[in-house]
Amino acid sequence: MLYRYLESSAEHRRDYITRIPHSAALGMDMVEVAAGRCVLRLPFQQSLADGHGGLAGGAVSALLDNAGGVAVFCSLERATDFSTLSLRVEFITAPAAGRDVFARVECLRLEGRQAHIRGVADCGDAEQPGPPFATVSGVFFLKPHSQPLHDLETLGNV
Amino acid sequence: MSEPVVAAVDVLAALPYAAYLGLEWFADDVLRLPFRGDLVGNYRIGALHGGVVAAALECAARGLLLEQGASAATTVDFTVDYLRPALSRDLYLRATAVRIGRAVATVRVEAWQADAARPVAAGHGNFQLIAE
Repeated sequence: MLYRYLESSAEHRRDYITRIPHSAALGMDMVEVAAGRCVLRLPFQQSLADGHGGLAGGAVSALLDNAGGVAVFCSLERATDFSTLSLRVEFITAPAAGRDVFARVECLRLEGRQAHIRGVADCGDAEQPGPPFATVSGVFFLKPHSQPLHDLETLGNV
Repeated sequence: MSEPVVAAVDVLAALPYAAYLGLEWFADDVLRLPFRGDLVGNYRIGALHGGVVAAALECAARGLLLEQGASAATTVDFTVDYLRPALSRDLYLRATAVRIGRAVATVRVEAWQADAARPVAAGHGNFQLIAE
């Protein structure tokens, strides 16, 4: 499965993010990947802080959307292009002031052209999740006759 | 009867992520997100990041509530349907209040690019209103 490509090197994980201009602009980083799931981190920065001192909800939505995409990627057997069809974010509370946000998202199932994701956002750390402050669910749609994602066509069996 | 209590320009200043994205008023009830390279999600087709579209829709909804006189609104939930690829061009947004209650408001938002009749995304959210 494709997750092995990301799992195998920090450079691959970094490249995946830096090729997405907005994710690179926000400073996202891919903390961990496994089959069908991932952990992404959005470092705290004052310019993205909301009135209460935590990261803005919009930035959290962008992180969760991106983590959903990575979770789908980590479920694929071979490189396939896909896009977000729908995304729902529920905010239990605001992210803690001055803290990094972690998105922990899994792809529940990939069936036909649909991939369904679920996940949470918290202000814990890389190893230890904190209490979730937001939940996400979404559907991604695979493009059947598309170019492979990135340059993975050159990778052969990953 | 409810007169806007916050000037339209100030409304966006109260939403830091809206300012970061560069969201601006285009017309009375229409917001514009000018295209920028660092808003791209899919570098191959130059499409806007799904998270940018979601954030812009959400900011438009909260902006509407602030403009309608809510002193603060926090997002309880927000759902986005991605209808068409959002390409490398400006995005326009219009929010409509479905209901503004005492504690909760429900807002719908549509986003389009070249043609308002061909929306690229639709959002729907519930917001908790904070009393002053």
